Amino acid sequence: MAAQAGTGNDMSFLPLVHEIIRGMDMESPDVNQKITELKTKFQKCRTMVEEMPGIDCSEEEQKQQIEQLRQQVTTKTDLLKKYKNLCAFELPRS
Amino acid sequence: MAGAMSTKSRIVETLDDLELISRELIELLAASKQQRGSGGGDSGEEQQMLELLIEKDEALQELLKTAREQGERHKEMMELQTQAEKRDQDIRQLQKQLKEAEHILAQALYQAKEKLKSVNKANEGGAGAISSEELIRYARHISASHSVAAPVNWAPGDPRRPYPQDIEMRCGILGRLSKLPMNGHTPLPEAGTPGMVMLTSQHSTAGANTVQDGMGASQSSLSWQPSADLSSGVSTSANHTGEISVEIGKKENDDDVEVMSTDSSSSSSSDSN
Repeated sequence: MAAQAGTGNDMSFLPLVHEIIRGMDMESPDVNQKITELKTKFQKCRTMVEEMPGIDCSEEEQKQQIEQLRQQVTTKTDLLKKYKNLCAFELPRS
Repeated sequence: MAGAMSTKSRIVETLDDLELISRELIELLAASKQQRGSGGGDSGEEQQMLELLIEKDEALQELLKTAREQGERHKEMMELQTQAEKRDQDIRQLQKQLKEAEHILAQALYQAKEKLKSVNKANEGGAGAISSEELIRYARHISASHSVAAPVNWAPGDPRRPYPQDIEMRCGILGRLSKLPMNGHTPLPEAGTPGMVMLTSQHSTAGANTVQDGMGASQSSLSWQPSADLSSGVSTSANHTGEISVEIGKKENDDDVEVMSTDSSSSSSSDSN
């Protein structure tokens, strides 16, 4: 089960729940402590999520925003190049 | 699950579900343990809860992975925003410079057009056209006798002035009006002194005009200081009959202006008594 957690092993709650269940079966005195640890872990996870940047929007929205920004930068760069290389004076052939 | 929900809200929701499930599972296990002691218990429900817990945990892991990717993308977005702001700044700067250049060019264009108008106005119409030679000649004439600028070697304290001074006026025709003879006879000019005009008291004022006419339009009878190339000196002299003669002649002088009348060495004037 823990292997299916993927890359977020540090935030997986299954190991702790498993320990609690085993402690309950074996009537271990550490069950209450484990339960407290589980609660603390939930709280830590919530705090960490609150502090993570860039997750205030969905993934699709973020991809759209980044694409728009890339286009903006490209357009502005091209515009600047165009006006800097523009020949302001065209002398008439007379 | 709505697609418009932000990743943060989905993670928080999943966490809440996970917490709820794990709490219920623990309570269920605790209750079932007590029931096992009394000979009962339903493990089917526990199994379902466990499966749900695993499912939610997997979903949470996926969401956290997405959140990390979004975090990386967010850094890239910040860099792109910085670049966009820099471009904006460059565009604003370029706009300001173009505005300035436009203003300067507009001014230059306006002034050039005004000058062209003046040139065209000067060129059009034959009657109104004035030749440059004539202009230069006129300018030279009016600036003769150092009337517009002091001589090169003039310094404060130099008695020379561009106007006739007191003593020169006294030595002139007007100053000697009272001493003019009353016989009305105008003697002829002496030989060897061409251009000499003699005046009498009767024609003193008219004579002054005559002198002026005789000298021509380019000379003035009251030119007190000779110019470089065209100088005329008017000196008064009284002959033995008491008549005042006005001697007019051209002198070829240097650029230095000589003081008329007061300097007896340079003129032939001589006071009568």
